[in-house]
Order: sequence, then structure tokens, then C-alpha cells
Amino acid sequence: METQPGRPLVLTGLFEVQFIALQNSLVPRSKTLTPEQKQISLNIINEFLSEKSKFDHFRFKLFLILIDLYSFGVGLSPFRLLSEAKKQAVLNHFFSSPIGLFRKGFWGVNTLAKMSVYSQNFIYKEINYERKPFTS
Amino acid sequence: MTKDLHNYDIIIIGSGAGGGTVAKELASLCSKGAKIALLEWGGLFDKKDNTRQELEMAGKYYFDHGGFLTQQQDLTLGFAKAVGGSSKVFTGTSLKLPDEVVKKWNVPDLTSIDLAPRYEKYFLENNVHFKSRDELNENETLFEQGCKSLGWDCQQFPIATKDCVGLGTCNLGCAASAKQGTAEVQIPKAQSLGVELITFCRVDKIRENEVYATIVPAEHGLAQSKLPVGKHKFRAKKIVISAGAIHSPALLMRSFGSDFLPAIGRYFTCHPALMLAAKHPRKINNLIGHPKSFFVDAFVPSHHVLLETCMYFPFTLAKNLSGFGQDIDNFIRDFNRLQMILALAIDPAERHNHIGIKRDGSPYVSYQFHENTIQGLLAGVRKSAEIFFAAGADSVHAPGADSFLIEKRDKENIATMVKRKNFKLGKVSIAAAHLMGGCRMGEDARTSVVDPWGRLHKQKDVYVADASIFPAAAEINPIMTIMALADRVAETIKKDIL
Repeated sequence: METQPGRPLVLTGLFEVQFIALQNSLVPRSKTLTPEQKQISLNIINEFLSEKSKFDHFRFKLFLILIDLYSFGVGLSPFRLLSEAKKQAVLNHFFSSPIGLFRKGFWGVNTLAKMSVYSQNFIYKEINYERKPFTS
Repeated sequence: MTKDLHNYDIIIIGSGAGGGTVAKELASLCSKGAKIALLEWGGLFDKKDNTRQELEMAGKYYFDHGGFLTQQQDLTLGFAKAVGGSSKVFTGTSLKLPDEVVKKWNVPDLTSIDLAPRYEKYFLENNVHFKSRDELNENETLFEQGCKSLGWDCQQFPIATKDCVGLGTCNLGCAASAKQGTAEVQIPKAQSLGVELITFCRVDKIRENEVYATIVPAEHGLAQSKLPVGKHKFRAKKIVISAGAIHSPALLMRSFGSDFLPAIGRYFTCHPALMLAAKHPRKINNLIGHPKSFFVDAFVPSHHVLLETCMYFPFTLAKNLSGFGQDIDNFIRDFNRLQMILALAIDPAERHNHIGIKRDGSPYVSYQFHENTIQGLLAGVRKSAEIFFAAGADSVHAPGADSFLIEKRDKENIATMVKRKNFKLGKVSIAAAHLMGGCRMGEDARTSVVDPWGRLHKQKDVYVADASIFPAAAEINPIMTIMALADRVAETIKKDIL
């Protein structure tokens, strides 16, 4: 996957910091990534998002902001500075929200976090996933 | 500015199961002087282009990496863009439309007797056969054993492959070119008889006997189109639209208006599906071998759900597990102990479920889940859990259950543990790849888009030949039915030409 030329990166600055915090909670395995694997995980997300519309970028960032706003309500801190227990509470709130838009927004962020880790080849050995060797 | 004008007798738009079949069936006309072109938006993949890398191949083969979201954002649709269309990424499963579905469709002149020889023709051409027992892995045989111990009728899928080496990554394309779709069978035959394949050709709109297209730059390192990049105009005596259930209605709407026929884009169905997984106490052989060999259709009439074996890849599995955090990590880390089942709900054809076009002409899909469809998915979860435990699984991930896993000790309580109130749209991952409807067949132009033989109502010389002409869900894997119906359309075109 190649980043679309001329498209600005979505995960930059505070949004990148926020996403990393979410990634660490949504996919705890990501906390054990090497710096190189971590960067690849962020590149995967930026490359994927580069093919989406500006409106999709806006919605994604808005949802990250929404998570932080709710976090302030829960623990008077942005998400990344909450305790682990409060982070889980925030994530569960969106995961099971009675508001459909919140569940769907959470599904999107959750899916991106899973993609950033589980689509990387290095994980295969760790999770005992082995493809049949083959050369065409 | 239109660069070039190309004259043909017949133009076929889309090279999937429908378009590829029409191309091959009409190819014999080339020897009588007919000029036929097969236009395909995607490129021609060779087996060497297949790296079997999950994200990379999903990006190469599928629109939106296989995650095209409906407007309601609670369902993702998977459909391909390549020579061969979605027949490049299906698992080879080849079934006939059940007699009861043919009767339910109630399309004049469409009978099982008419369809039978067509199915037989493509079963032969595409080498449809049963895998031998020694080709089946444990993910398959455990499903069979589980069903047998429950007293459920489990059937083996006939599969369209040749020289399959059991790579198990069929849904990412076949790196061994063993899968027998139209790219491997019908299109090469059509080309050998004189049909011209034009790749990277995106059709923008059609008019009476005219096709307006754009040749786009080649993607993914594939060979460029034979035509130069830019706008092109084609003239044809007959135009066949086989762009799939999403793009065929969209093309017709861009061309003739969103309301030129009341049913255009309407009655979309898709067999929404849940991917379910269970963990066994021991390693099982699940990754080598064909990933979809058995199914149970016994619950289609009663519960509106079809169960099939399946085996997917790490990110696809993670995405489909309902939840987050350590639960997911713990479940996935023992991939070689996992068994998987796909539960497909049989959804009703409802007018409000439709394809439309946005201001820029690109398609959107609006789909609202019927309560019966959700109940079908829940039944699929419960039935699959029974199969998993009967096969010896220790724990089952069941969307809609009170907890992330149902443990073996609670297997008698599956029915009460999987609850409707937990099954919230947007919380569970639902996907679909059997996209049907949008240009349904019928005699009445008020409620259908094409006649029983694929001719577009109110517009001469235009035909539709793909899954968009299905009047309702097929209730089984649709590809052979797409081919059989495309054969009917090709037959009709030949009659109309003479």
C-alpha cells in the first residue's frame, strides 16, 4: 500500500499521540512492538486513510476528539493520561453505546487499530499462523 | 475531449462471472465477422502478482480493501475489480439454485429445467468437483463431525478448482491459478475466438448504442490497457452490462437517470454474514487445504441462515471478533487451534434496500437490516456454537453473548446466553460478498429492470447479465447461477441479432 501522493498525513501531532494511546488499549500487543514495527503500524494507517476522502478524515479526527471529551468527563484528563481502568471504561462506553453513531465510530477506530498490528507479517509466528510455503 | 471512437457489434461491460460468461458464449460470432469487446475497469492479474499478503492483496483486488461501507455504516461489502471480477476472489464453491428458490423468484420462463443444462455446462468447463477426503483439513472435518454428532445434514461443496495445492488463501486470489473463474476459463476461450479484452477501462455512462469510457492508468504494476489513457467513445449494436450488483445499477442511473425505471437500484440483497471462531484444546490443521468444503442449509427455511466452513487471515479474524483489548489478543495468539464457521443470513428483497448514486456519480448502498435477518444471524451464532462444542472446542466467541467467550461448561445454555439485546448493529462486524439485485428480472417495468431474458426495459439494445438481475437472494452461493443466467442472456442476444 502506497500513500497517495500529495495527500497530507492524517495521523500527525496530537492525533498521532491519541491514536497510539488508543492502539495500546485496543490491541495491547502493540505495546510490545519495536520502534520500527510501531512506525510501520502508523504508516499502515496513514496509507489506508490517504485513499479516503477529506470528509472521512474529518470524521475520524472528530471521533478521536469525542473520545478525549468523554475522557475529560470520566477522569478530567485526555484519554492517553487516564488510568488503565478508566481507559477501559471509556472504550466500553463507546463499544456498547446506546447511540448507534458512537458504536459505529468506535468500530472504525477499533478496526484501524487491529489492522495496524494484525496485518503485519512479523505477528504470524507470534500467533502461530503459518501459511503453506509456495512459489509460483 | 473524446480521444477515439471505436466501433463494435457487441460491447460487454465487466468481466466477472456474468460478463466473462457472456463473452465466451458470444465469441463464436467473431468467426462470422462480429467485433466484440470486453471492457474491464480492473487489470489482468497473473499468479506471480499474488504475494498472499493479506492487506496488500485486499488492496489490489477489492474495492475499498474489501470494506465498502453502506450508508448506515453497519455492514461492509466485498467485491472485486479485476479481469474475472469477484470470481478471482471467491472460494470456488459451485452450487445450483435450489428448486424452491427458482419457484420463489417466480420469473416467467425461468425454470429449473431451463437452468439445468446451463449449470452442467459450467460445472464441466470450470472443473467443478468434490475434493477427496485426503484434501480436507481439520477445520473442515471438525465441522462435518460436529454436524454429524448433532444429527444435522452436512453437505460437501462442489469446488471449481484445477490442480489446487491447498494454499488456503482463496479470498486473496489464487497464487497457483488453480481457481477456475472466468479469468482462467471463459475469458481466455473468448479471446482465442476473437473477443478483445480492454483492461483499465472504466465505463462512465452509456447512451443508445454508445459507451463512454475512460482508460485509466494501470495499477499495482500490472500491464497497461491496450488503449491510451483518456476518454474514449465506443459504438455498439448491443451493449451488455455485467458490472456487478453495485456498479450495474449505478451505471444505468448515471446514463438514464435515477428514476428512469421505478425499480432501478432497488431490492438489493447480500446474505449478510458473521465470521465465527472457536478454540480447541489442541493444535488443528486449519491453514493448509481448501478453506470452504462443507455447508449446512437445513436451517434456511426455518431460521433464514446458511452455515459454511471458512478460514480467514489474522487481520480479517481480528476485525470480525466483536470486542477489543486483551480478550482479542488472547484468542488470536493460538491461531493454530482455531476453527471457523461463516453464518450467512438469508435476507429478504425489500424495496428500500437500494443502490443509488452520489453527486459525483459514484455508487452508495443503503441497507437496513430486517429483524428476520438479525434473527437469522443470531440463529447462526447459536447453531455454530453447537457445532463447535460438538466438534470438541473448549471455548467459542459468540457475538451477542453476555461475555466474549462461551466456555464448554456453559454449552447447554447457548440459547439463553446469546441474546438479541446484546446484538447491536455497529457493535458486531457484519460483512457480505454475495451482492445481488438492483436490476431485478421481471415482466413488469414498474417492478423490474430487465425482462426474464436480461433485456433492459424501455431501452433497446441494452442487456444486463450479472447478479444484479436476481429478483431476490439466491439462498446459496451465487456464482454458478450468475453464469447460468448470463448464458440465457447471451442466448437472447444471439436471437435478437439474427
